[in-house]
Amino acid sequence: MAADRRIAVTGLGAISALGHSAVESWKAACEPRSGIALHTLDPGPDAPEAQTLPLARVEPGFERAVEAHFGRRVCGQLDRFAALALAAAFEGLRDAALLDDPDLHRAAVVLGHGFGGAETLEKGYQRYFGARIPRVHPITVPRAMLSAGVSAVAMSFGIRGPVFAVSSACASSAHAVAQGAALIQMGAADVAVTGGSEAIITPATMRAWDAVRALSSETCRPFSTGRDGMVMGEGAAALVLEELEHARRRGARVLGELVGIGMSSDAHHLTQPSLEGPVTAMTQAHRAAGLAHAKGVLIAAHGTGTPLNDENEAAAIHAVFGDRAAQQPVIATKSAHGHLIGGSAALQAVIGLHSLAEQLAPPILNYLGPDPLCVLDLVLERARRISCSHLLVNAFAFGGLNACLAFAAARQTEH
Amino acid sequence: MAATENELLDIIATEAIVDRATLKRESPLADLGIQSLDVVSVLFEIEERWGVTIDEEDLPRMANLGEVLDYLVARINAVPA
Repeated sequence: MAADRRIAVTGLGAISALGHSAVESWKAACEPRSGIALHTLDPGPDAPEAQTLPLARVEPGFERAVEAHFGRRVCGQLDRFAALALAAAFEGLRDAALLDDPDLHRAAVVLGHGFGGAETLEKGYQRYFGARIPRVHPITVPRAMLSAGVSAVAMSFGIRGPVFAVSSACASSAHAVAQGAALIQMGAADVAVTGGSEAIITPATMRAWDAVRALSSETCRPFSTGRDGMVMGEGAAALVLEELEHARRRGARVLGELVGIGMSSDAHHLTQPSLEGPVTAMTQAHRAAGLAHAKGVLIAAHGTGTPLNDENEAAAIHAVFGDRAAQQPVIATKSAHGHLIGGSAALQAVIGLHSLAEQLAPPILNYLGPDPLCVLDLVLERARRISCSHLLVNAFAFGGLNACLAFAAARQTEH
Repeated sequence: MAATENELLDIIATEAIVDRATLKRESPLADLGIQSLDVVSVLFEIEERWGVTIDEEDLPRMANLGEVLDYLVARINAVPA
């Protein structure tokens, strides 16, 4: 990445099945505690029978902090995916001590989501197709649109710079972080609220996911023998990116530095990954960040727990790190917070950055035993003390869209 | 199923995101902080629960919450079961 405008991370926020803040989510992952449990989704009287499946749902009350600041109405008119995004952005900006910054209006907001307002759309469709009521609520479109989250963040904080949403399925929030960083590097903003969210645990959408045959009937066991799929999660995560000198001038606490980005497309298959695409994206981030000379790299794997992804990702890590592959600790926190689709990469970056700062990595849960095709230095059973200077976050999406982010620990940015 | 004032107050508090305790019959509507879109949401909820369609344009001019409750209860319960 260009050296003249370096990208610091100065604020983190997260809402997940593990807790209502970034620190809570990281601590729960380290305990370790799982946010995955069996839930029954009742689609109502006009639909087929209820479905019971493992899910990682956000506990009620996540809006409390943001509503204490802005009043009770702020989340009421938002779809769940936008309310989650707003809550994480609020925490991130508060963490960065930017809530009352007079220049906040010049900031950018770039968030990633795979789907948008599923809850709003399903409720509208239920009225129209199910109850046969012709009138649709006038707020349906502004609630459901993919950009509803970034608009809510911009309006709540008075942010008037570049604001847009990006979408690349499971890699959405990694692409969002990359775009936010690009805006800072091109001088379009000094501060960017980046990350993403997802809230698609709704009866019909989960039936659709079931039909993809990517969901586990039990739980998420990344890189383990006997793994049989992913577990859907929900939530949001925010990374406040800031031009390093800007952060230093205002005396901000720097939590890490974004030092490498890789993006690629498989151009191969809608649901099956290729090896070449992930290797290309990881190699770009690896080179830009100088990871060949890093003391140790904590790898926050995409690690969905599907048979194909994990095998492919393990091969990609070996291809990129070569002889050093087996020495890099690998975490896969979807085993605790589920797969947030568009919000996953940002949440894994937030948990990874806390792990890097504390040099303590959360374990992969539900591991049954080694898979000979996934031979890596997996962090298992309990949180592990690490000795790493860098973090690499992988995100590989349906449709073959890949984005990797490399961060340096805060102490690496002193010079 | 007949609608009760209590049920309507619950719906108004939920849809308009206002504290249930502040909803008094004598409260002037202007003081309750209920917006036009909230009214639409309340009417949608009534439609889903009781199958009674009330257009926003049909609402007469009303000064306080008591008048609104009386009007809505009368409209919902006027429909033959």
